[in-house]
Amino acid sequence: MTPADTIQILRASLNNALKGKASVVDQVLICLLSGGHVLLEDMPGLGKTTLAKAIADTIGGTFARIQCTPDLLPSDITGFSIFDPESRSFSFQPGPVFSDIVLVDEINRATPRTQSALLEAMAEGQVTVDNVRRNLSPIFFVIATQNPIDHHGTFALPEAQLDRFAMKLSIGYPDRQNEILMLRDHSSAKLPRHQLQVSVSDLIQLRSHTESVIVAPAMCEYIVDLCRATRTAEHIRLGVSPRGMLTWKAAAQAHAVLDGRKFVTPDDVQAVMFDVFNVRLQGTYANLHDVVARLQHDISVPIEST
Amino acid sequence: MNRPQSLWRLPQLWMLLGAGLITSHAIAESAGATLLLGIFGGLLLSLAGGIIGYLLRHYVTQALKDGVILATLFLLPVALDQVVRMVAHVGVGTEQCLIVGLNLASWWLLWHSTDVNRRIVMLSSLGTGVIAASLCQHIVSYLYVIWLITAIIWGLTSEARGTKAQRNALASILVAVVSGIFIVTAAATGRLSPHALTGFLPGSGGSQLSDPFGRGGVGNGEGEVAATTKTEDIGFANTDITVESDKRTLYDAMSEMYGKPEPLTKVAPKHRKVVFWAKEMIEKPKTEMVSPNASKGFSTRRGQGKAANSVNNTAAQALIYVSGRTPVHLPLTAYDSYIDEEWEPGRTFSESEVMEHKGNAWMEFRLAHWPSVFGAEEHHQVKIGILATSTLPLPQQLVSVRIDQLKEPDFYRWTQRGILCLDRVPIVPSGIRIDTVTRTFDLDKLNGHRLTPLTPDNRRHVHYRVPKGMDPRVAALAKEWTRGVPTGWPQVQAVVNRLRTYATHDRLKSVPTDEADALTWFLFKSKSGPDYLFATAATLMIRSLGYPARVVNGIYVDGKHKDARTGHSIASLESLHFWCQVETEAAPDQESVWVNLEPTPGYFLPSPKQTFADMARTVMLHSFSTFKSNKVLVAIVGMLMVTAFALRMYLLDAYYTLLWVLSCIRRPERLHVETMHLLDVRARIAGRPRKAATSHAKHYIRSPHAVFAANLKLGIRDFERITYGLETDVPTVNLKTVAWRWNAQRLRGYLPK
Repeated sequence: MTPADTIQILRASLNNALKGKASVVDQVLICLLSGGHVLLEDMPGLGKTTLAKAIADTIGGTFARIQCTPDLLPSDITGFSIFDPESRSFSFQPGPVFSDIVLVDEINRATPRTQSALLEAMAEGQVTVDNVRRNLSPIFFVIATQNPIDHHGTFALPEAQLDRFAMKLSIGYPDRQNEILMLRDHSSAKLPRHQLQVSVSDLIQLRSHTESVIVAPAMCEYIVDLCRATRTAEHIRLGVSPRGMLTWKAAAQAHAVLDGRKFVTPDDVQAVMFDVFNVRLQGTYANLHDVVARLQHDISVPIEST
Repeated sequence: MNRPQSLWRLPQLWMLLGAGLITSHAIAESAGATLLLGIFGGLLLSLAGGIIGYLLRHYVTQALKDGVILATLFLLPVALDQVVRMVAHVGVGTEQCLIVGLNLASWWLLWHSTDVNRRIVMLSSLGTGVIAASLCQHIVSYLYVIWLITAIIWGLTSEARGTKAQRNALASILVAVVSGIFIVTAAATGRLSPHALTGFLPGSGGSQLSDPFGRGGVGNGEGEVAATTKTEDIGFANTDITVESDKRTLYDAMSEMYGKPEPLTKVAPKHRKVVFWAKEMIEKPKTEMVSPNASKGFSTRRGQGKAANSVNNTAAQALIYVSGRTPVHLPLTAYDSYIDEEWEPGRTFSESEVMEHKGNAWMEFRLAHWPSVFGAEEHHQVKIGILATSTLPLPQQLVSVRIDQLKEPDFYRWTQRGILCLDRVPIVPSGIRIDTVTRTFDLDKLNGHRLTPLTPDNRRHVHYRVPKGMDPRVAALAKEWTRGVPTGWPQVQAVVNRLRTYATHDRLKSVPTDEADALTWFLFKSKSGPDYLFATAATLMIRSLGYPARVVNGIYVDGKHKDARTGHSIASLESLHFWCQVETEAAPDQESVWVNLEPTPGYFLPSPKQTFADMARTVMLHSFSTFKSNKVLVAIVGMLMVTAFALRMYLLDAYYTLLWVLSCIRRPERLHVETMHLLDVRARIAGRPRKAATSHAKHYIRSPHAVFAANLKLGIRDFERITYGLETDVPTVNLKTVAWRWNAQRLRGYLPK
């Protein structure tokens, strides 16, 4: 299966599950392709779980859901060893993180201790339980959600944790037409499962294809200039870190792949800029859109290749 | 942060060149040269900028750029001035050029510095701009200062908060306010600060350096130089020096010029001791002072006058030097009564006219307040050459006068009405420079004003008196010439104008000894003679009609003989002249003034200096008549201009397309970049510019599925493949299609507003 086919199937499947949200679907796909994780900040009931499940279904991988509460323990996520009377030894019971797609619901309700257990999983693609290092799925993909209006009993995610996510997205309410459509579909039967599937190996192939997308030296300069601008700009307390910069580059590459190109253009960089910045910039600004627009406005797009 | 793509595409650069052009023009105007110099300078500046830009782009590293640019900008005006001196033989002081260079350099700094530096440079460049402008003293320099103010305020407000419209509104208000203050100040003071600086500038004669095009200055301290030939140089020697000089008194000069009176009364001393300005002289009691010419009459019976001799028109032989508008009449002696064919000088004027010290040694007079008959104020500078006189040869209708270091009105005295002399000084020293401000009468406007009527108790009745034995035919001729002419000024002018055509001027003629009456011989027999006979005839004829008149002798500067180096008019012996004056007043209670009249053909009164409104009207009328006489040409040019304006988008497009073609020939490997530049330029021409932060794809590919825009999309995709995809084997056909098909007009229709 060619990368283009894989993308087409993924897109169709996700759009079928989450109607009228093509742009969110594309951003999620960008994260999936670039190997980044997604933080969804939204109201309850807007389709976060549906989206995560649809991804898992489409790539035929395993899916797990962690519902975070303050009494959730790290072992509830990573898994634990239990004594097996038959084999007279400890056997490891893998936790939900060993699934391909993990939905971490209301992540900011978990205690910092539990949150940091996720940290290693997301950053390294591995967990260490009882001094044994265990690798996670090669396509390990986290979709975390947090509820913006419910601040009671929450533990805000630390900047270090936030930086592990590639993007922060909001799904938002669907428009009227799509809500009507949704009601009709749900009334007749359960959500129809999309017929075509892509395999885990297809996704791995797609990821390596994404990594091979060309980023010209001038484009690297452009990204670096924009990142450096965030560190000195007004009203921004925390700019984009070098890790964030790498994530941004990968996201731009994924955007180019979605557009069917083998090289990154300024438009790719600009298209993912807001969502990448949304998860990692900290400051006293009122509206991030204005900040991003101003940063973009100050840096000319490169028109020479070097 | 936002690095410009190319320095030479910046609009600021072209503003800078514009500033250079304006500055050079201002310099050119102040030096009295033509507009040509300004254009020449501006072009040279642009050319030099282009060459430097090319060199910098191709050969010099970034680190050297600013230094080279600064040094070049700083020295460019000096170099330019030297070139202009060689080519056009005019120039400006080196110090001015340096100030202008400093200004240019500071403006360059302004665009390449930030924050604090920027503000400092802004303020200092405003300062240097004002200095440069004050040295130039011309309307263009005012424009230059206002331009500076505008640029600075715009630069400052561009950093302010608010929307673009708010910032522009703020800037406009500030520009209006600051420019208004500047204009009001300049208009109120009448001058900027020309005199504040003159002594401190190097090439002015104030130091050991000497620059032929220096702005002039006061010799101070060790570097004092004696004034030689320039009115600008004021070289008061501080010590008493007595030198042998071939100075001439006015009487000697007149005898030499007009022939000796018959019978000969006196032998003119060839050499006399001339005492320079000395403190003791000033303090000497008034009674010892003898005016060398005040008591001598002028007979109309003389020997033959002197033939014109061009050798005498050299700077060394000059009686006086004058800079300012010519022709100008500078009276020295006024003659009141004509007795036995000899003019007697008028009695010394006893009343002291009110004169006030206005600061900086300027003395201001209370001129009769008739604004409607005066022209605009004009400035003259007079420097005494070899003429020995206690009377100051100054233009008539003085508003104010200045001799450096004379700060008390007591130094001046009226020897006769309207003729000023220095009190307690027997001879005005050579080299002294006298600045005057005068207002010329507009004779045409005088018609409404009355002349003082003849009344028995009039104290100046001598000016109405005709000699007892005067030929009655003279009065009859005057009557005949004024028949049907309204009384007052029209009659006076009728007499003078008729006389100018009635007789011819012949300097070498003299009244034959066997003639009974000089005037009769002149008017009815020879109908030709020297200027003193014209003046006599005019004066007596005007008097016979009942108007007050007098004969005046002095210097007529025609402006034909000039010092080649300084451009000052030289008044030699031949400039001695006789004319007549008529007394007039606006109302009985107002002070009367003497108005020059020129009865001798070949001599002219200056027209009143025009005010700005007058000049504008003249220029408009003149251009209107020019247009009228060249209807076809104007129509063709006008149509061409209108066509060019209508087709400006196509013309600009064609120009940039040509540039694109040339650059593609020169560097074919850059075709994709140049094509995108071309597209950007066209979009700008079409009023749909691409923002630097917006990619070409986003700006130009508006509707990806539009069939007619397919080739545009393909071209831009190819550009992206080369630039961002680093592909080397992309064919250029799509890019070329974009360049040839997507002109500004088409982009205007395609791109949304």
